[in-house]
Amino acid sequence: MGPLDRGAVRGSYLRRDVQDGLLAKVDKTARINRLIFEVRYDPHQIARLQTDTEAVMEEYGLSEAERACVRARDFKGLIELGAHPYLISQLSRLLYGTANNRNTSVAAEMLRRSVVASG
Amino acid sequence: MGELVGVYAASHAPGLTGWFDDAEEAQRERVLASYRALRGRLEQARPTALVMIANDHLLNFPVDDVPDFAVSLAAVHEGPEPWFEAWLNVPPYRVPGHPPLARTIVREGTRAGIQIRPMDRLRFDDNFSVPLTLLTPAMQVPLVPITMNTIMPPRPEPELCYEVGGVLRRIIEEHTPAEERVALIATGGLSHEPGGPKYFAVDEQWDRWFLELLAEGSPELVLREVTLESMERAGAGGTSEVLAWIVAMGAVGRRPAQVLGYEPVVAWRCGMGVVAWT
Repeated sequence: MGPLDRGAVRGSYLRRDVQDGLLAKVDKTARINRLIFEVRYDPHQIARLQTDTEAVMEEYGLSEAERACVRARDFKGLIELGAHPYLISQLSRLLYGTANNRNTSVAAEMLRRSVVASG
Repeated sequence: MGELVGVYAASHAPGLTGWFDDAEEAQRERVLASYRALRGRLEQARPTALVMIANDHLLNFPVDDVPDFAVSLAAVHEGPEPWFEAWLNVPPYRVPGHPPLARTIVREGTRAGIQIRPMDRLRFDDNFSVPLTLLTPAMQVPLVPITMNTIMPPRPEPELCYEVGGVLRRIIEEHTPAEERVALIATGGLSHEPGGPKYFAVDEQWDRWFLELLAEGSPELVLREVTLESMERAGAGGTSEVLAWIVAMGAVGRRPAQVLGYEPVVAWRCGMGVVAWT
């Protein structure tokens, strides 16, 4: 069966959203998304993520592939594993600092190297 | 019966407060002028209540539980969420809520068929902090904040967002007290791609095309052209924040938007647009 045309889709009760591109990769069940979501609420956990990353990853039950990407600061790899790109921009700030998030900040630069430079 | 006295839309990029000086001076001046123009219109409208609609940036809701719409019933809102304070460079603030209007929107919105979740409180990041700082720095007009899902598929489609705007108008006109004067401010967009390969790019061509479409005053044209797919191509996960603008368009219907300003600010990683329909 070929792709449905837009008119045919409009006749469906299913909600239609993008089928490819960055957001189509997001995996609701990927544990990394829960980790980033919750850590931001707690200054103690934000500090621990920097000083004891392994323990926090263990608490959230990250997969071995997710853990390897976090260790390597492979943000692109995390997106490929289902991390939401918006949360990935926050992970970079959790790891490298959040103030003065200009394009030349460390947090922005590390994202650029991983996500932008490698396309 | 209350009145909808103003409908506006603007970007809420964190760079506008967080790393403002990184933009070149001429651009900074033009952006500030457009927000000043909007603030002037808002003050002229003399609202007794503000309804602000903007996306939740996965702050209140995790990827596995993002409601289409959510409303804070709080009597007082506090912002910004602590972790965002340094990022936004916005000091802690308090702004009064409007529980009766918030509850009316939840009750009547639900009856109208909108998936809308009441919340005891909502955490604010750039979504509400930036427009409040620029547009209502006195923080005195009672505020009903509405978040929406523009970030996690399957999102409410533009056609639904347009209808929600019409419902909001009807709720304000039919279910609020006669002296209530409500201004609706939608924020988000324009093109940007947080965390993606186009993080450091702005799609000026898309932004200008979108603003020109709004200025045509034809909802049919906008809904035919400005699809989710089109938004994603101009910046995945960020550009779709203009779904909030589609809600605002739904509240005014067939009326051209006046573009108060546009700047593609690469230093802030966002296309900055400001429009008024009234």
